[in-house]
Amino acid sequence: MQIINYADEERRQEDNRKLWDKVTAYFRSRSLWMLHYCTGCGAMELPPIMTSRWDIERFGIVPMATPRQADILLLTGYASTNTMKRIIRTYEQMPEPKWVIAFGSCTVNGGMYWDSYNTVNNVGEYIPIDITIAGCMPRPEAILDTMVKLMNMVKSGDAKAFQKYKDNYGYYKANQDKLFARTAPVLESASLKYVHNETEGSEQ
Amino acid sequence: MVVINIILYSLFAILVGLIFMGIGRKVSARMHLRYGPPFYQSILDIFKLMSRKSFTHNFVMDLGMVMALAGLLGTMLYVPIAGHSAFISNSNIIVIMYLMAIGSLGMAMAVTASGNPNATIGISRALTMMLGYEIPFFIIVLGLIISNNSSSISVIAASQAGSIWNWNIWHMPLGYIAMEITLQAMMGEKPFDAMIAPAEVASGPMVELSGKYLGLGLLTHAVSIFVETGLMVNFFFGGGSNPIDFVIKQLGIYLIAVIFDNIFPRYKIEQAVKFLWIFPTGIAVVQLLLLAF
Amino acid sequence: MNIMLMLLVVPLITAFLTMAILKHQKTVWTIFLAVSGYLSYALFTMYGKWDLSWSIELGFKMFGKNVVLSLINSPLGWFFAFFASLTTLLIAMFSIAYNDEKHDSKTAPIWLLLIFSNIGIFFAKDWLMFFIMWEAMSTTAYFIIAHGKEISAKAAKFYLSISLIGTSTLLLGIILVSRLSQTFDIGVSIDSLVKLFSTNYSAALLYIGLFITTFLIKSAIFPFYMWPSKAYAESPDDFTPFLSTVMSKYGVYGLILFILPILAKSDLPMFGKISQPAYMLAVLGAITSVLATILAIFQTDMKKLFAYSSVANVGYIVMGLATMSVVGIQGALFHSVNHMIFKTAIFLSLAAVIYRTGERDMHKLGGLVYKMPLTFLVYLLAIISAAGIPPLSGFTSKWLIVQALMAQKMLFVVVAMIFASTGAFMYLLRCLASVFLGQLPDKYKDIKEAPLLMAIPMTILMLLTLAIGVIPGIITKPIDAVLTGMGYNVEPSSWTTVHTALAKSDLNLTYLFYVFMVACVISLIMYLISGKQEKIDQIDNYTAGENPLEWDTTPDRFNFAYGFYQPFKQMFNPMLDLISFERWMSSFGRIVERASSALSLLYTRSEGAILMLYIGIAILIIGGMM
Repeated sequence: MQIINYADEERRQEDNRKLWDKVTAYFRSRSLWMLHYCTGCGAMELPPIMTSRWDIERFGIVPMATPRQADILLLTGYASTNTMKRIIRTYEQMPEPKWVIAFGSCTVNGGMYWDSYNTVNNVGEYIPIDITIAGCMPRPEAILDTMVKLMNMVKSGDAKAFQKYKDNYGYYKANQDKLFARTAPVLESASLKYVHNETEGSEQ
Repeated sequence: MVVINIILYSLFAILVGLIFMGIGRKVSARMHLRYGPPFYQSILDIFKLMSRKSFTHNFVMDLGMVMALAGLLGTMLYVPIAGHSAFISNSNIIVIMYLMAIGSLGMAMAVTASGNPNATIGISRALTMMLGYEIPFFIIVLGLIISNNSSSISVIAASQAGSIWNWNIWHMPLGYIAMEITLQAMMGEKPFDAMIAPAEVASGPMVELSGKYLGLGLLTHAVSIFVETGLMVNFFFGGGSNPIDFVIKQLGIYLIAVIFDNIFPRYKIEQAVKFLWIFPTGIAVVQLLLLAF
Repeated sequence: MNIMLMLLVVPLITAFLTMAILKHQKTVWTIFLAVSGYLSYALFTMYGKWDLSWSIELGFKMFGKNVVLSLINSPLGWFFAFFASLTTLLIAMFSIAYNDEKHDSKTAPIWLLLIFSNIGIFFAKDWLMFFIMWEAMSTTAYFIIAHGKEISAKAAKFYLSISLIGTSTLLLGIILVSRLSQTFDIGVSIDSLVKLFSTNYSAALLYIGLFITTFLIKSAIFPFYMWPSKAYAESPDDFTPFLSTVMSKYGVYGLILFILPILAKSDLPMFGKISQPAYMLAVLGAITSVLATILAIFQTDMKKLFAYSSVANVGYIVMGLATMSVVGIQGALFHSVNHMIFKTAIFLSLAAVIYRTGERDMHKLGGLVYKMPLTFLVYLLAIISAAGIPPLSGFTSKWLIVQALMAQKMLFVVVAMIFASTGAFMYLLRCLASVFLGQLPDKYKDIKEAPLLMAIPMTILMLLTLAIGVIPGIITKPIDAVLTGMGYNVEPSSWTTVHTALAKSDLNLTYLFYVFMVACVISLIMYLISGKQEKIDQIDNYTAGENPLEWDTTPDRFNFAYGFYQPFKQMFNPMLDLISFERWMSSFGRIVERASSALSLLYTRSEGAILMLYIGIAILIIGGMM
């Protein structure tokens, strides 16, 4: 039985991108470098897909050390409010085009931490998500499937969440500000400040 | 005419270097019992990096990366490829040694300009490593120069022409062993990759490089692989009878380096320098004394 | 009036003239500039006129003849004098801008005296003139280094005491040599020493040993490598380039003038292809450059770093000289000029940095490229030249020296040379990374580029090092004259190519430049056709997701500068302890202290007094018996 993806079919008909864009999209889809922001237990599922059994490198997907080099931001698990700050900074440090994969139920609806006071239930409210993987935790097959799907989306020019972030920055910014207001210390004395000591500068 | 030659040779070196990198990745994947990326994966990576947006901190980053690639391309043009080169020259070894330094200087300048401490730590390690491997490398080269009474690579390569038994690898096996270890350090492969250690210093020099800067860096690396393996072929493997022969020998040498890369852990920087100054240098000195007296 | 005399009289008269109007500093420094301009012009016109000379007979006799003070325009002297005065001219232009109310060192008149002795040393025909000028140079330099600051005075004292050892050995050598040759003439004394080498080897070795000691001290060759790091660092910032580039060449000049002809002409025991004393000299040069390089790598004060760098560079020159071959001497002379040019450029750009920031410690600076791009560019090209990277000038001379060393099969010396020049890369980049690159500290947010009068000489130096690198004939042509004057048979060198003794190893530098430029264009095209770049703030860095500004840190905390080569330093610490000059000095001090306290027992304790009495009586008795 053949499943026809009507949405894809429709897009193919009205694909009026320039040839150059198509070519670059192809190259981009074949060389996705990922930065895995290992926030939670989902990171455990990454070693299997990189090693001999599922070997994700055959699609050109390799882990990278810094956001500057990466194309995909992989959020593996729940994001607490403080972590969210780091995620957003990391995301903003990535050069365009960039894609975000939300990994596991925690990033979609909070998962088993949905009623915790300091976890973010839907990461998609603060940064744009291209594709999500449901499951607690998702199997490596699911991850591979997602990666292939993302590759196809990149190739067809469909993965445009970074554009969405730029266009609707006001919405995301408002959400982020509202979230970070919660992280402000209640007591003045609790505010963590690094006191720079001038004489320390000459020490080793 | 010379200009066209230079452009063609440059593109050839870049292409060969990139395909070598791809094959290297494939080979190390097979060593890990993985399937591995296609052999042209590095070309895809370069294209992607070059076509995306990138961040720069100041003009030094742009200047440095351009300088790095230019320096390595200039070096490559002085390496004779199976007796061919883009223009007539003596392909002096000392020129090659110093020209390669432009690449390192450009890279060092570009990445320290970003102001990231990880990058600066990486550079300080890379330069320390450079002092480590230049000594054994030069002692081996000195042996070759003394025995041929010429500092021209063409002369050294031509002196091994004829049969396979004329190759320097048979005449100076100790020199070859020392060179093999030194080459590992020159290419920044394990166990001498303390400068780019991703787990310690977030890939060191590359930490702030994005998009085309990383692309230029990868191209520089590709050309440097071509230059270093090319030097090795000219020094010890007779220089090749035609370009295809030359490239195959290069690939063999590169794959040896890749295999060692996959089976060794990483030295700390001071351990690496100590190792380089004791073992390869010692072997090279023995070789030099054997040649000189 | 004789032009040779003019060269001496003009700086001497203006020195006393400027002392009278010392209050008007701008006028004084302008006069200084004019004098150095005049000297450069006069020297330029003197090229090729090798029969120019000047002499005066003094009224008293020695060795049966009237004592004569004489000057002669020799190719060797001209070579050094011309490039020294050219360097001085550029520094003078810089000094006008540098010596404002805040930085005024009031050293112009003494500096003019120094230039006077400078000319005298390079053109002296007899030992008496040479010694007078040498002594004048040592003393005047002391006053400039001290320049009325307490810490500088200490360094200057150190310099003076070392320098005095040098002048006394020189005096002793001159006395011995002129007694031997019965004249003060330098040329004659060379011949008589050559004769002495065939009859009494050890005495001759002692004679030239005295001279070599003097020259090694002046050029800071091992074991006298330590004074520059103190004297260079504490001298006025605009004088440091002169001290480092011109004054370190006096020793080199002395070696070429006097020692090399003797070693070349006499019949000496050989070690490999060259004579033993020459090999010894090469080994000293090698030790110097390796040691100075290692010490330079660990400095945190930028002037100290480049002081050691100068020492290392003079080490290369000595290695080149010691090969006793045409290529080696050519390389050494070439490197002397190159060192003048790139080290002046480096010290001037650093002086510009100090002028704007008032800071000498590298780790307290950073990111100055944002504010002083021209200074950065000058420094960058200068260090490329200093590291010996083509296509700039430093490469040519290093290449020549390395080729000469390899042709003479001085295997371990050439390895030392390569060690030093790779190590040079380390310390040069350390200063580049710490001072000009990285994060700009907040307190330097509103400093400006160096003033125009500083920028002009720096730019000239930058272009000069590029021009010489691309067209080496600019320097090799005058070197031909020098080598011919020294009695070597040389073919006229070409404008573009440098030759060596090894087979098929000649190098066309202009072509190298073309090739590099084409490679640059290819690289630039790659850069231009690829995607757009966006400029971001200096603090916008990968910091593992943290925002450093939220933690109230300042950007300069991100500069990795203080322990730049810490792991490497730990490797060398045992060796550095071993060779630490301070430790030697303090142990020497302890010995002196113990000896003197033991000596004081002689008159503080009664037993000592009785011992003294007995000794006195014994001396009396012995004296009476004799």
